[in-house]
Amino acid sequence: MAERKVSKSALRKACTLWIEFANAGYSWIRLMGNSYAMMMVPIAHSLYPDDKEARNKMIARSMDFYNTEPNIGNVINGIAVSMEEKIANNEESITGDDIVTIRTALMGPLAGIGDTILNVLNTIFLAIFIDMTLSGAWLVGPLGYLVCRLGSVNLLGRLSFYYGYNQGGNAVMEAINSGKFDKLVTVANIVGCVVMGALMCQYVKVQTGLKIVTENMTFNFQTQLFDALMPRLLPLLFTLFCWWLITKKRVSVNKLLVYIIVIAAVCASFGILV
Amino acid sequence: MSLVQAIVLGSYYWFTNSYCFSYRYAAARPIVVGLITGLVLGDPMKGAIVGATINLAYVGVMFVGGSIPSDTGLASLIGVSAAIIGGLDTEAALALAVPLGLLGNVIHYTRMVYFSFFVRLSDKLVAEGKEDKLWLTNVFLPQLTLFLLCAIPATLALYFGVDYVAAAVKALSGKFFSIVNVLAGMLPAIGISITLSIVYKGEAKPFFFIGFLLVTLLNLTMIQTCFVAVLLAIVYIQLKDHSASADSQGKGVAQ
Repeated sequence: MAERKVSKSALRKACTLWIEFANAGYSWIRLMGNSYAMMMVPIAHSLYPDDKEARNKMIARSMDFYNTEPNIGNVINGIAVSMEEKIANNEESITGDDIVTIRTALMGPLAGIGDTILNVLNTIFLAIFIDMTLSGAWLVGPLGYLVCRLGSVNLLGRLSFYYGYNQGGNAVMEAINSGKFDKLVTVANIVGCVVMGALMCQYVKVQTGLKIVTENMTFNFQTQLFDALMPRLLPLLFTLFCWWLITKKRVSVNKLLVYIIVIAAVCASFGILV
Repeated sequence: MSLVQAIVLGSYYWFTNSYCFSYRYAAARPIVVGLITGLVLGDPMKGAIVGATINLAYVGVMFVGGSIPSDTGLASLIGVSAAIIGGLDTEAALALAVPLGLLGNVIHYTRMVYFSFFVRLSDKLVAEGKEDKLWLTNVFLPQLTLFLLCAIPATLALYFGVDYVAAAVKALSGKFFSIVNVLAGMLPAIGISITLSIVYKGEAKPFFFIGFLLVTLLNLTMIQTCFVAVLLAIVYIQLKDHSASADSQGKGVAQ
């Protein structure tokens, strides 16, 4: 029997289905699980063109819990497709369970890498194009953001899918274990940290209005204490406080939001913050 | 606002909540919503500028593990509309948008629950051997119901509500504004600390303070800071590789 191979058009179709619709049916039960199954439909048609039962079997065992960052995480889907190809060629060593295992093993680490890289990129795009919009380029700003954001997402998603498909599971595992990805994440973390530090300076505004007024002098905490020590000291402390609540105290973002509203309302009413 | 304009913008509200198409990555960002709302309402310049201002409060906000902290789509659609139709200035539009964004997320949590029904439908389809129809239960039907759930209330709110809301914000006195001003200055810390919870770890930590000092002491712009950041990261990696290889050589000599 001739070797079964996924056609190029099926690969393209699956990759596009995933990039466009990975979150379309997102719900608590299975998160992206069914989108993964949907992505596998063209692959199943390509591998088993005239075996409806085999197609159904393949899709039926593809429907389980799955959650990762959709773009860099597309590496996993590429790997899964290459494994399905091997199963279709009756390679005894690989079973459907192996695919589930590798997906479960990789979805966490790759979500971490993907969230870091895409979020740092997105924040940089936003920072640059918001600046541009507000300084007069009102059309170029939003359009530039759209082009950069959508371009980077589509490009990274596609590259990741074909990387996973061509390299296969073992090579990707090796790359992750060898520390190649770690280096990439370190770079993203460093760039992210610098950019966040800069963004915080520009956008977070926390200023106290507290003053001590006596008969012959006024002591202004903001200008005479904090600004004298280090400008923007309060925004820095406040941002680190939020980070501490989220990471060390495991406060959910929605709760943090409520806390901040309360703090703002109380402090603004009494003139502690202005 | 004409009914047609309200319907177009109301339908766009579905887009900001659909998580459908790769456009989803930009759909709900106020900077984009601002331009689109402005185009529909005939003042793209004001739309884009108000949108970008609202976006300042949401820089760094991201979708993590199935939850988002604010409905930025609703916030900016109504905030920008009120600025253009109701004649609010940028600051007042921000004061309106921020609480609206906090109100939001209702759609997000509703869909996360009721989409489970479509997951069961998908299971049924596959069990019946109709896996080719998965797009129907995984994309089309959920999104159709979501469209109705988003577009109808948003259209009504925009068509009937914007004038009243704008008038109400105008009538509000100083205290409300001073609270919202303080709040709007603090909100960006949420987005930034979400991102920090990912990147601010281990050896990268000092670089946060370097970024802080680059702007505080040297007044670098965002683009300049990015270049410095990339170079710092490259130098750091090179030095680290270098010291790792020097380390292993040093050990060899010592033994």
